[in-house]
Amino acid sequence: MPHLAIETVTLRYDGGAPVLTNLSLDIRSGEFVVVVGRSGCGKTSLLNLAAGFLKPASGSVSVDGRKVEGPGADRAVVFQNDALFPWLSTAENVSFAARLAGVAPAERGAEAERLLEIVGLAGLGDRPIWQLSGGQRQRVGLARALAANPAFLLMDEPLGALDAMTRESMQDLLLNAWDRSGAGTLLITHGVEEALYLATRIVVMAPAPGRVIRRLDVDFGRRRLAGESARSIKASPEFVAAREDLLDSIFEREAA
Amino acid sequence: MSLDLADATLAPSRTTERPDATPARERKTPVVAITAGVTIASLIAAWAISAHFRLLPALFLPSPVEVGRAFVMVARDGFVDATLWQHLGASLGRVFAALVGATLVAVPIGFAIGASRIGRGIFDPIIEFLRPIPPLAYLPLMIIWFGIGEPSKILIIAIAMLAPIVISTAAGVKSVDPDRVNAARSLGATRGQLLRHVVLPSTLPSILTGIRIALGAGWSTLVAAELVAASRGLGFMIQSAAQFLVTDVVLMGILVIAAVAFALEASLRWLERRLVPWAGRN
Ligand SMILES: Nc1ncnc2c1ncn2[C@@H]1O[C@H](COP(=O)(O)OP(=O)(O)OP(=O)(O)O)[C@@H](O)[C@H]1O
Ligand SMILES: [Mg+2]
Repeated sequence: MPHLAIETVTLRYDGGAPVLTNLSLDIRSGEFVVVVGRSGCGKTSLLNLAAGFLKPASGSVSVDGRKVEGPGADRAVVFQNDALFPWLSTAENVSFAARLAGVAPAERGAEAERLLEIVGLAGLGDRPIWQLSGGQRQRVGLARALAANPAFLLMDEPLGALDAMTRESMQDLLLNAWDRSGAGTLLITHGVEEALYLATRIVVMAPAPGRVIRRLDVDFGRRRLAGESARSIKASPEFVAAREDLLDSIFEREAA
Repeated sequence: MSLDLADATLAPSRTTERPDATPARERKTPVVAITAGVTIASLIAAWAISAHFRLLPALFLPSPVEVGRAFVMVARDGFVDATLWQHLGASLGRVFAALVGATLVAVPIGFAIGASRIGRGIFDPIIEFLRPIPPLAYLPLMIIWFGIGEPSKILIIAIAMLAPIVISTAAGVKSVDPDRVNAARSLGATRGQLLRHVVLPSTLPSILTGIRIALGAGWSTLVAAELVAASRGLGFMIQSAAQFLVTDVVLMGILVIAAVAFALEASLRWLERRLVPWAGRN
């Protein structure tokens, strides 16, 4: 079972003050780890370490015991500002990994169609990217990442720029995609409710220097997948209590 | 604490709207078009009236009709041993030859400047040195080095085209979205694939803009280039006409040069819309 291990890492930009200190985080397949924390506390830096875009000053990032030397198709990334390729059609964006691997166009088209269906964009494969809405683009970004069939899915505030209603439906889409692919998932968000709704584990970070101050196991996402409605979950006493608890812990530590 | 706040606490300043809500493409308002039309019409009217009443001798200011007649005459019978179309063809041929050469040289240099600090150290001073020199200043040197044949003329135009393409390409390379690069890397792209599938297409709009500006710059050095022992070309035609004091041909040549410049600009803009329709929309 794939295991992404971040062990006691310290990260500095250009030898400045440490942005992350002594931070450890494990992600196994089947897990949905959500990182929350105040702006600037180092969430994106953490994700970039896991993706292999950055290297730690000390400590290590490894997958199944092998040290991570750079980005790789086993760790697909969904970006906050979608980072799609506007010169390619929607379908070509989705099958970009296959294009790099030299897969024949016909096969790529079929693959793209299948993934677009999964993210609810069936039939939009020929559309230029710039004719899609923000929510649709995030779906394409997700489909592009899923197409690489990654062991890990790393997402940096993928829903941050969406309106509340689109965001709710996207949350269910993320849950389903995670459930279907079984990829170990790391998601960064500003939304406390979003974290509770999606995560199997929530990691709370505090700033200056970035570190983990709390880990919390939850199972609301599994309840949703079992068929309970989103409204009933979010209105349930357990959910409300967990939300207050999580907010308390964030504000308590921040005040200190 | 209310439900809405819970999701908003950590992100008080985040907007929910996407930043690409800017107007798709600027449209010329009719006001501008009308004003421009009126301006052009009044200029032509003023020209026609002053020519009609001979406010200036015909040698200085031939009438629009005379210029029109010069156009028909040169188009049909030619002037200094070539028709207008042959002059135009010669000039366009030089400018496009120069454009091909300049693009082949300038795009790789632009990539070198944009992508590597060493490349920038090597090429930046050269480009900055060449950029402000007017073509008439290096014209004599080109003649001494390369003689009075076609190569000198093309080179003069090409040098004027170099800087715009280099600068624009380098800016394009520098502004490639790092997230797009990272996205491709995490999908398994090699260095070569990054260049071909991400950097090159990202830079294409800037390269095309550079080419459009270069075409304008090159076209405007045409007369200078055709000072060098030419026997055809719009610039040559104007100079010959000036020597014989055939003012209507001079004026006609100027108008043709302006019209061609306008057509080139318009077709390059059309090409940009066709080739890089996504530019400026992200
Ligand atoms: N490329 C960089 N060079 C130098 N410092 C950086 C760089 N990127 C981030 N930092 C700093 O590192 C710290 C953590 O940044 P990071 O982007 O990881 O925060 P974040 O938690 O993702 O914030 P946000 O929620 O606003 O996205 C910040 O203080 C930031 O100023
Ligand atoms: Mg961030």
